[in-house]
Amino acid sequence: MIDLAYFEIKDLKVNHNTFEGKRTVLDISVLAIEKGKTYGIVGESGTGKTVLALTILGLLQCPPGEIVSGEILLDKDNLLTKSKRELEKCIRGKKISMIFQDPMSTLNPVYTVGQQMTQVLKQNKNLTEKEAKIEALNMIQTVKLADPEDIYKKYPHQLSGGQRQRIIIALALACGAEFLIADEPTRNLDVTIQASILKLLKELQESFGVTVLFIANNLSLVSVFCDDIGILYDGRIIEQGPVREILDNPKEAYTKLLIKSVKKQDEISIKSKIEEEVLLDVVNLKKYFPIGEGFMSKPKAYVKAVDDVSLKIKKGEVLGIVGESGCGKSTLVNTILHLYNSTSGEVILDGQNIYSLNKKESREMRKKIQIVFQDPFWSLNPRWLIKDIIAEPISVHEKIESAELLNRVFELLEMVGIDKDAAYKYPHEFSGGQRQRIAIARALAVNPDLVVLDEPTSSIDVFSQTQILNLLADLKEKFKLTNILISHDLGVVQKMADNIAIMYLGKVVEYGNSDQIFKEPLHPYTKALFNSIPTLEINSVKELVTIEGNVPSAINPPDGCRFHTRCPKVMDRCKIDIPEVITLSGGHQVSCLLYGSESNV
Amino acid sequence: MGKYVIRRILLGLIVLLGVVTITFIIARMIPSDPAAKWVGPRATPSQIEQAKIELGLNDPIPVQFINYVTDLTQGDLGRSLRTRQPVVDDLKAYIPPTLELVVLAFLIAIIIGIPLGIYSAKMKDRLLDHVSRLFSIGAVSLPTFWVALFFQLIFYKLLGLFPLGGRISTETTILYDIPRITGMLIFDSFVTGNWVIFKDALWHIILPCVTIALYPIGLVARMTRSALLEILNEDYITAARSYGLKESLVLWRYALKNTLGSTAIVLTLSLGYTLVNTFLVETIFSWPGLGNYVATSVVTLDYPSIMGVTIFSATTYILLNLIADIIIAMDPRIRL
Amino acid sequence: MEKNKFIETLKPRIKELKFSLYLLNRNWLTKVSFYIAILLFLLAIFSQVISPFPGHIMDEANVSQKLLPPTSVNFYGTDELGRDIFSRVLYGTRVSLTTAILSVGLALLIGVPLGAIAGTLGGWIDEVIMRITDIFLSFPPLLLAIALVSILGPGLENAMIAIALSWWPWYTRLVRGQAISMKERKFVQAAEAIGTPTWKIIFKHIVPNTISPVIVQASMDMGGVILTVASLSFLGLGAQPPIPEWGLMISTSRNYFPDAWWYSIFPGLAIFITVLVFNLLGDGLREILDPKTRKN
Repeated sequence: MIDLAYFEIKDLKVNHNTFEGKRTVLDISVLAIEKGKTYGIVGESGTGKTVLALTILGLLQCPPGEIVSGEILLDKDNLLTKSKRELEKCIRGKKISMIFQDPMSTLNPVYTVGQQMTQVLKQNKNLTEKEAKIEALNMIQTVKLADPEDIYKKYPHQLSGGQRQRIIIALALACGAEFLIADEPTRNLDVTIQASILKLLKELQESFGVTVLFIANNLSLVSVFCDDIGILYDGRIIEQGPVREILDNPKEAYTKLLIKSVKKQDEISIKSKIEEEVLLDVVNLKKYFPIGEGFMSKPKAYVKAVDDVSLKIKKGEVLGIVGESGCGKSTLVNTILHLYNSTSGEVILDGQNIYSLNKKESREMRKKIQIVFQDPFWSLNPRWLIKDIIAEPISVHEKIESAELLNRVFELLEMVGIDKDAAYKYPHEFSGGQRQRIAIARALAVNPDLVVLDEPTSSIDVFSQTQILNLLADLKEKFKLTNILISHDLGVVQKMADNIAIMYLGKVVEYGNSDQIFKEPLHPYTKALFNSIPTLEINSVKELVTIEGNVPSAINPPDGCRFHTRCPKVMDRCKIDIPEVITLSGGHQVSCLLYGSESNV
Repeated sequence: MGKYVIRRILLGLIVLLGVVTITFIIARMIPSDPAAKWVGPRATPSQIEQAKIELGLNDPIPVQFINYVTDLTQGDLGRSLRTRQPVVDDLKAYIPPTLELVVLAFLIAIIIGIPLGIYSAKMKDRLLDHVSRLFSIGAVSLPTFWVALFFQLIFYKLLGLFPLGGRISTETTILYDIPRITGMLIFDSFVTGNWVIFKDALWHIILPCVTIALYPIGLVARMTRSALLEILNEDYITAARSYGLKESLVLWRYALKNTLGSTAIVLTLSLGYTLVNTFLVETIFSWPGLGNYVATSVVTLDYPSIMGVTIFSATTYILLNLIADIIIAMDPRIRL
Repeated sequence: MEKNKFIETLKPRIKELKFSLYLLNRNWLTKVSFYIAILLFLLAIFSQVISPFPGHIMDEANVSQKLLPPTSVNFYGTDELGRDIFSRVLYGTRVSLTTAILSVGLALLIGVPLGAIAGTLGGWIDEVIMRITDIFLSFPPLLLAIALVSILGPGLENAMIAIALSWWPWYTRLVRGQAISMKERKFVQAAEAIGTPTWKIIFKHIVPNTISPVIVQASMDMGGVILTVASLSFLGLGAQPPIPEWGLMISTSRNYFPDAWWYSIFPGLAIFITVLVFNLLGDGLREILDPKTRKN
């Protein structure tokens, strides 16, 4: 099999040299890809994935990088021995191309996408301006963008994330590269858009016969897209082989852990003991943000971030909120937390409407509801000591002696499993998982009733994820907490949530308990959402469901049912009538004209 | 875009009004008796009173302010207490020499500074980079008036290469007829083909010009370098390289276009510094420009002329900033 | 018990300092400037003790010895009153450094809180502060200082105030920009969710995170301020005789130029070296405090 290898890496060792000394970032002894096949590398952040991609193209910054030894062979030709000029003239763009992670920062903001494409084509294929333009328009069409002439004239910031990523793909393939490196190409995209990009990539790969090296930190993603897979841990490929083989018979402990963390649970157990009393009652909540001329004149329009949302959360419950970016979940939560004032509607916490409290009562109210954010790096003030960070809520709300305050801090640290002497350290001395624990300790400092968890495990490594989730579950039991859990990771929602609300464009489109939502999703959006997310059980990209079109703007949401512009089951009615909330058996609610008194389910 | 320009101009006018107000307040707080100054050292009290009424100093402050502003809009900046001429006329006479100096120095700064900054960034951490960085930092550390004296010492006293001062030698003024179009000798003589005057004027302007240009060269080179370096670290530059684009193209077309904004700011700033450096240096070179005018006005506390120059400079500066802002707004990312 | 806790709090900060010093060590140019800067401060503090002719610094004169070129006794020669120029230049270090520190300090005191408030609170407060800042920034550098000293009257203290009043807008703009980006950070939202009062958020959360670029800017500005003080004194607006300020000395020296060239050259050299050292230091400091460098 090695002889058939089109792309090979042999004994590659790359260092990163800092004042602390040399650190080996990559140590790959063997990696081989056959022509026309797709090879996926799965690794977590910081394990050297991007370093690998840049090294192959000769774009690694040296210093501080250092290629110590090894060979990178493309068609038996060692890339590491080539001069910069050779790489520029023959390899980059022509033989090997790369798709980057963030399409916004990868496109030059001051040139139109058309100009950028034409430039690349002109140079690589030696075309005239006119010829290059025609080619460019062709490529834009190949990546399935409607109205190529219009796209050609646009600047990167005028396109949506999905459109930009398609342009990046077009740029990469425009000059006939046969080897494509895709470095987390769908990282910043919504799940539904991700599915369509993956499908596009697969199609292009098959029709152009391109060999792909696909790099990601998501095992399910890689397993759905690729033929072969390599697990990257600490710079080494610890296990590699055909996808099904690795998934069915993992040998390394790390691989097994990765698989376990993304596997869907068969059992959906009842998790919490929910009481009858309603803790939080959200009634017809709306939050609009004005845009347009700010100072001194009326706003031109409003971003309708949250548009008439009603929810009831009972004591002891975990409510999961699921939705893609722009659906309003963050705004909803921030409004519930009174970080924003509502445009209209009420939020009744423990019997009081939080918006009608005076200043003193408002501050008191804050003790009852706390939040743990997604970003463990910036959610703790980098200039504060840990003890001050955790003590802040206590010192704001209570008059307390510093000795006793310190004791409380120690208690809280112990509770989340962090050593006491962490109190005198700075946040940057801790890992992501540890920082998240500190954030949890801070949230619990004043014994809140309701704790909001905003994507608590999205930004931390897979080892810590399970630990954090278990910690959260334990603490919830111990302190009889109620949780609102926001997550785009269905696995996490499945593990933790009792009830789930699906949001789209500022509205709740479906609501029910875990069982109902996961076993029998009703709303077309919910169904599409679940089916567009790659899982280990799905074998190929073709099985993913995609939702066509872009998410409409929240400034001018579509009339009638907001989802009608992209709904696979759209009817004429949907464009005019606004669906009401229909409650079916067992408290399962859905807002869709397909269901209701007149239609057949 | 048009709306932005209009809004920006309005903003500029508000700022200008603020500047005028501040200068007015400053002017009224100068602790000297302008009326007495106006009349002269042997004035009688009644003459001083008379002068006060004439100069409008007895009116209530708000009235004085309104008069001041109305006069300004008609181009009346008052009358200098020292020269007795309308400040506007004084300015008309003294601006061209300074303008000449500033424009020439500014051009030198751009022609040397920008390429220096670009090559410095391109050859980061190599010898050229270190040398030019040292030079740039050195250039902005030099006291301009000291450099002026130093140059005079070396190039006049020791080497005898350049004249001590003045714009043009006395013989030339006697022997030849000086063309007067803009008042800027270099330009005027060049345009009328009067080569003798041109050479003479050039010979006189070199020393002051180079003196003043040093600081801006350093500034422009440094800021061009750091702006370019920042951009070269961006993802889209790495991406452009990965598509196989030639390095020269990446630098000169892709990277540089993104520096437009910072460059506009740098240039405006350096024009401001050049202008101010001129003030310090003109007295040393006996250059009959604005700087000389200000230096003498300051010593004699001639407030109308101080304020006149301040307003003129501030207005020019506001205009330059306006142009810079408009250039920055041409960045397609800014949604106007 | 309390003392122990205090030491514990210091430990992480000392670690940070050690790291900074380490980084300092790596760039030889910055290291050299750092040591020269310390030398300058020492000179400033001990100038009266070190000067060969301490009396000449202010009033004592020896008119018979006037305008002598540099010798082994008078390293920099003598001035028109027979005073030893070397001693005066040495003392001038104290004058310049003190003036610069006080001016920058005052400018920071005004500019930083304004910027933090404007950036964090936004709205009309931001607009008003920004307009005022714009107005002050519309005066070309130095010109405003000249105009202000004209009202306040010539003198070193007034020069300090004038400089502070011309310099503060830069810090306001800088801090405001930082505050605006810090505002979006989660730890600020966390503090809001906790119920921390606004003033505490501004001054305890946001300001400490904006300090880095301000320190860099301030140390780079030291050089510029020293130049400005010298320029003002040169114009007759700053230090008044008999204070041995470098710019003032150059101004006086013009009457005897170019014959008594040492009178103009040496004070100017002192200005140049001092400003250069601070500029180099500021530049190096910028690299040290740059978060990207620190991460590596």
